[in-house]
Amino acid sequence: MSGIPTMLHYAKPLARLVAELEKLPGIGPKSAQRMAFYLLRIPREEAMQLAHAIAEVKEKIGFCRECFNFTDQELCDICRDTRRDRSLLCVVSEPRDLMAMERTNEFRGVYHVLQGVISPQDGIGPDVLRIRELQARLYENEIQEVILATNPTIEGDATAFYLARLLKPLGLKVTRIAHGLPAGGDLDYADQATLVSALQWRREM
Amino acid sequence: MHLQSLQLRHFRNYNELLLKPGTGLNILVGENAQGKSNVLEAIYLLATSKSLRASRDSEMIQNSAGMAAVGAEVIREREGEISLEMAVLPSEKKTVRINGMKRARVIDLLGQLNAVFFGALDLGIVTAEPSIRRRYLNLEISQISPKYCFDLARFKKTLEQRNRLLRDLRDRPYRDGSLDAWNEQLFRFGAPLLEKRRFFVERLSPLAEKIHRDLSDGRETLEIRYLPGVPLPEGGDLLAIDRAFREEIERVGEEEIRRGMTLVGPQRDDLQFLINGADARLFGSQGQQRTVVLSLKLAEFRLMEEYVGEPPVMLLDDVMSDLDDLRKAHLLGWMQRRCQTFLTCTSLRDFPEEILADSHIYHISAGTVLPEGTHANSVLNGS
Ligand SMILES: Nc1ncnc2c1ncn2[C@@H]1O[C@H](COP(=O)(O)OP(=O)(O)OP(=O)(O)O)[C@@H](O)[C@H]1O
Ligand SMILES: [Mg+2]
Ligand SMILES: [Zn+2]
Repeated sequence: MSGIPTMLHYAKPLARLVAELEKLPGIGPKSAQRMAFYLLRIPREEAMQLAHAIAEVKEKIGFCRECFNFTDQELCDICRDTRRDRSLLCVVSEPRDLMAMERTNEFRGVYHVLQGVISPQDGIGPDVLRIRELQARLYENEIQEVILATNPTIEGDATAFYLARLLKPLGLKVTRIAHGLPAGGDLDYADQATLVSALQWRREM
Repeated sequence: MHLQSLQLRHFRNYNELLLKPGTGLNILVGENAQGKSNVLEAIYLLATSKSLRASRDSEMIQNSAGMAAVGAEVIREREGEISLEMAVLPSEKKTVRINGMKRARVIDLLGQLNAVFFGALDLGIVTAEPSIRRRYLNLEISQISPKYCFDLARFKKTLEQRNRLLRDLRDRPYRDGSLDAWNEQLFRFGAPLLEKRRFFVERLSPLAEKIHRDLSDGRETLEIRYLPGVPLPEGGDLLAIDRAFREEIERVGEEEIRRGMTLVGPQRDDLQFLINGADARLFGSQGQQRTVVLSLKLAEFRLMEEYVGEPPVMLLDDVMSDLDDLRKAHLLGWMQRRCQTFLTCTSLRDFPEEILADSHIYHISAGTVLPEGTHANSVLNGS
């Protein structure tokens, strides 16, 4: 906390930058100051590139209308790709889990990103997640199998169970990726071999 | 099994310690607050991954040091030598190495070293509130079943989530259908806890009864009874327990929502100690309660021995002074069996000469082991 008193003496714009940087995940007051001083030091064009990049994602990146992955178009690359198997739908909790799946080059179906998992302690119930949108997709499209690929944490498992209950009456095949994944871990930290085998050993719920 | 060496670094009041204990009785003697119990705590930490008394793990780090480390070379009859190491960081994080290999999860440590601890505070297992008895069950069963430890951690997490959901349902009675999903997690991790606890107590009770009979000169019959937080059918496997748990949750469902909390499950478990049919917590004398704990600890030793195929390490913290002559003699006779024991005391006066002659004696003073005692050569004190 040694940085706080001196910060009062910073010129206002600098203090504002430090305060903004501090809000970033994993950035404390010390790192925020270091980053602010770095940005002051580098050439103007370089700093503007960063500013533009930030402005651009906020302007251009939104959610795919179909699967709720990040995209700069109305539909993401995967949903637009006509070679993907539309009878197979993989449900993940976050875009980063989708990316992890994609890196395996094994999965040729399409995705649905829930944007979270059920967690009462964080105030997240099923209605906060993109579950209604998932149901709508299932009614409208030719999907035959839904693979539930939430993380094997208790919240991920509870979410998968909830979805299985919800989706099975629709007459679909509902499977859960196998628990070859490190327990309590995150999908995006797992190595590819683990993910491939988890996909291979998915089971019906 | 036994420890061939024990090494402490920046642990409690030890800067650096290397101990080469004997395979029989090791007596740690010294005045109060010198660091005797700290040695037992370190050994227990390697066995259970849990501190005996710290509420936060970082309390074990020596004042102002960056991190604490405990290491041991363990000899097991079948597996041979295993080296264990645990580091405790100021962030409360713990890391584990087994045979020099860093392990991703701390619970990998469980099952490598088995130890039974008996200290003055263990009287609470008989006299204190139910949570102390559940903690006792958790610590002991975790040592013989790492899966239990895993299930327990997930059960606790599930319980917190489910209680929160029930509170929300109480306060704004809008049902989104997600309670079923949490119930499922509750059964999945809770039913195995009920099963393992019942199994453990069913085996522990007859062993304790036999030991207690000896300790009480045949006058007392001890029975340890498991009081599950879910009414369980007689006998029955995991499936039957799971079913009973489901039925019970179904039965109390509305009331749980009304009260905003989980009302049945292993978080309500308790143990009862009956001496000749009377509850020792309510009706036992202090001496009887102490004897129950001693019987319990010795029974636990037997059970663990049976379970892992060789005797565990015994840790006795300052218990001799609380016992009367009969129990003292029994315990001393018991220690002469082939198991490695670490015992702390403030004076050697309670020990017969023939036992002392057979023991390794360490004089502990202000976080160092003084190389005097009977077996001074076996003591190597680090810098
Ligand atoms: N994190 C720590 N850093 C430094 N010293 C510590 C730390 N934690 C405990 N101590 C010291 O360790 C000593 C207590 O050690 P321990 O509990 O092993 O004593 P003991 O020899 O068993 O005493 P008694 O006979 O009273 O039970 C105290 O002096 C305490 O101040
Ligand atoms: Mg002590
Ligand atoms: Zn898409």
